[in-house]
Amino acid sequence: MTTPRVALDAMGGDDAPAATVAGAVQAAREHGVAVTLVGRRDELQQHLAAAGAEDVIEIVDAPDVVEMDEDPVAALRAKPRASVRVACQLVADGAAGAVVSAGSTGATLTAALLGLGRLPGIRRPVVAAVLPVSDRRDVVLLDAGGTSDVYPDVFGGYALMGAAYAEVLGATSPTVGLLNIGVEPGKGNALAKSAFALLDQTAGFAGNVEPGDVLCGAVDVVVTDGFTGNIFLKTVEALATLEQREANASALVLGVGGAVLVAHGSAAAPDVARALRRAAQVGRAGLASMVARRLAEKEAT
Amino acid sequence: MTEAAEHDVFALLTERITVILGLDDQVTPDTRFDEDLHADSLDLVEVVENVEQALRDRGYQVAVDDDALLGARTVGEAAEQIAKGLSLA
Repeated sequence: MTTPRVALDAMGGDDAPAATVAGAVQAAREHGVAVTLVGRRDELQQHLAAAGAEDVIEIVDAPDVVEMDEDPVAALRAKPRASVRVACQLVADGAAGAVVSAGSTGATLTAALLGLGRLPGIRRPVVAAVLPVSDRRDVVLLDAGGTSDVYPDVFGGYALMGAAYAEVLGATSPTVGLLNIGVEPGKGNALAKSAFALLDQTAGFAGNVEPGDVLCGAVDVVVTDGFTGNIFLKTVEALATLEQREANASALVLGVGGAVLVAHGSAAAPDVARALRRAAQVGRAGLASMVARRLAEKEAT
Repeated sequence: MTEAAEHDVFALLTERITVILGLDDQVTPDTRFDEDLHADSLDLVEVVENVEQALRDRGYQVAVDDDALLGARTVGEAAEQIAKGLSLA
């Protein structure tokens, strides 16, 4: 399979477009990643010219931007030419094979869903982050920040998608834990208790797990709501920074019809470059399709 | 648009809700997005964009008031808002 072109939401992120353009140039020059910058053409051209990279990277014009403080759904309805939405549309049209955005996670999830559609049987697409908890083991965390307020009925889908992703990453018979404040079944708030009751019937469910258990690799997959998951992820990232270890710079949207990666809002140029490389790898491996196939197989059993 | 158009929009909306959200439940005009379908604004907008495209394919122009649409609590209210935004192309 050939390495796909990656559409970069060049306007998304705290330091965009300077950091996104610099990251795109780095990914293209140092790693041969084919990148399409999506955003305000004039602004992007200036940054590319400053880097002497006008001939290296192409631009698709998208005049609008979803700001971090905007409601993602309302903003994307009002701005159909927003950069993140145009980037997802490039994948839908076959002009790119993957998307990266360091903008609002909610806006990226929304644009992915509206542009690429949800996979059959998926109640709620989700943002999945991979936590490298040891040299030998990765843990899939979902929801890493896509949807803060959910009903418990989404957790079965989260567990299925997470297990499918973990299998694609190499786990055999992945175990799934529910992030909680204690391991006993009655622990947690109303959402956690209801989720536990629903997950208890799911294959591979290992019960509640505390944050420390997750970091020790007690399970392959950990599920929680997007609010809690995002706080957990940011805590892990902060600890990794304190220990001068490299944290993963991107998370994958699962449950939509294409490869969409969410990079950290504070991503600097090297982080953007890493996210673009990973997006190219994810697209080349057909990871989203593999997860979809695994999911279909699991649902059929 | 006419009451008939609103009826058509409701039928289309109901069909897309069932397919996209994968629901087996009976959907009526009084069905509530949040409490009954556990659907939020993202679910609503995905369904509505599918309905809008289907209406355009049938020759309508569609210009829905998004503020009113996102304020719809029931399927019937959403159908009403979409029907209000319809005109023949």
